[in-house]
Amino acid sequence: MCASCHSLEAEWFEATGHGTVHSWTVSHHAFHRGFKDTTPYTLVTVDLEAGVRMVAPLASSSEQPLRLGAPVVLEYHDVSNELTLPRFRTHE
Amino acid sequence: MSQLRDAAAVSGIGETQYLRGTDKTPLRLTLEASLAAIDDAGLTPKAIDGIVAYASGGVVAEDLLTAFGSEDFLFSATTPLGGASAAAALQCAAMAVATGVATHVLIPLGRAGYSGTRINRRVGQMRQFDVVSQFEAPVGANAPAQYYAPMARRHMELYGTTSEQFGEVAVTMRRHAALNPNALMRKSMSLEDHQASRMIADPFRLFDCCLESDGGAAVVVSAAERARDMPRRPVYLSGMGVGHPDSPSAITQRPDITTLGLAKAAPRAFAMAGVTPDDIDVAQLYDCFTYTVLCQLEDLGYCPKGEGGAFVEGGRLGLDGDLPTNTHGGLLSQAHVAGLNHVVELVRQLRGEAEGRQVEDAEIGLVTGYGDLGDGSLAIMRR
Repeated sequence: MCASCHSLEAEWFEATGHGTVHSWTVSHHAFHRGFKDTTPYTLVTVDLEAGVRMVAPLASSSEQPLRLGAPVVLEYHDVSNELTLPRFRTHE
Repeated sequence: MSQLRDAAAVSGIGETQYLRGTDKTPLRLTLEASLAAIDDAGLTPKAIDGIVAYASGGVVAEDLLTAFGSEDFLFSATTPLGGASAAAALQCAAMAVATGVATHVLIPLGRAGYSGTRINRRVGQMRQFDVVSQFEAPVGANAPAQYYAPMARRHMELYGTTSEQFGEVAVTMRRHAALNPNALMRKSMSLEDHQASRMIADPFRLFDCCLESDGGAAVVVSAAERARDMPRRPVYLSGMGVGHPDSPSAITQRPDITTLGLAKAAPRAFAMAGVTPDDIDVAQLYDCFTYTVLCQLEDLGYCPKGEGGAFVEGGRLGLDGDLPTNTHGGLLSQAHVAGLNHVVELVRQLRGEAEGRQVEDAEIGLVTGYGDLGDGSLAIMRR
């Protein structure tokens, strides 16, 4: 439901994937065994142009250090044949 | 003036020994703490006729009804606010006894947080974290440290808050724990020790994170006029409030991730009590992470948003400071009983029974709760 007008209507639209960094954390400790081999990894919280916030890892090739407001873009990463996950990369 | 101001009082407190490693179940720990609190109130278990059970634990009102062999509870409720449940339960219990619905309400909490289910497992099972479970856990955000770290990081970037300021909180809590025989972490910690502790979820180091522990705590709430005839000095519930953050589904979806539900609860509770932050002699602040303490100081109104880091400097939270805080050692160094240990400690301070760590002439104090990624609660008490 829309929290402003309480409409129950919803529709899909394609987001640009562009956004800016709202905050981040660098995980040095894996709290789930699936991430043991990838520490340390950076999780960025991103203000998407589409109007929502989204969390995803930062591609390791991205520019460091981060700053608030830094432009990023979403891409999809094939972790395995069966699993694709989103990640962000910096986009100066 | 609110009808609820000073209409109810805490009449009994109890705690188990805190441990990291036990064979005891959460029910057993709950019962041990409950018996201690009921005994402290000068009551027998069958005198308890109301209960506010912990919504995030495995123990329900029926367990206590069965264990006590009671005929019935006249009042039964839960306050589903995670770590804010304990202080919110005081509001709930106060309403029940002030209106005569019940006479003596028990607030018990027992958990095997170290030996049983760990917090990161529980988060994944909680309905209110559905957004987190569906969208954030699959990309590697699996535990509270990872959910709270971006709040702290943004605070640091916007306001210049430093890791050393977080360390000031950790070191102070540890100093207080060293004075408390029932605290788990009593070995001294320096700021250098804090800075050298391993990084968990940047900016949180190991010593920025609270303990996971086993144990139980409980309090009894009675109507004020009845509490005056009970054995212990009554500690009156003067002002209470709860508040949710904007967009409570996930931290990431909030307009301002550096403001907590406590910012809404605080003016409600201070108004009910008829006091201001400057009137508070001792504070027990929910400290799941060091950052949470300085953020709550801002949301309570002790300083403007962004100045919590500077506020905690110079020993202000120590026993001799302007605002002695977490005199038992807190979740960071005493134990994690979801903040009911903070309630017990505030009552002990206001009774004048905090041996070895007593704040001199403590008359008015406050205790906060913070849970479910942002819900806030506050209880202001006076002797």
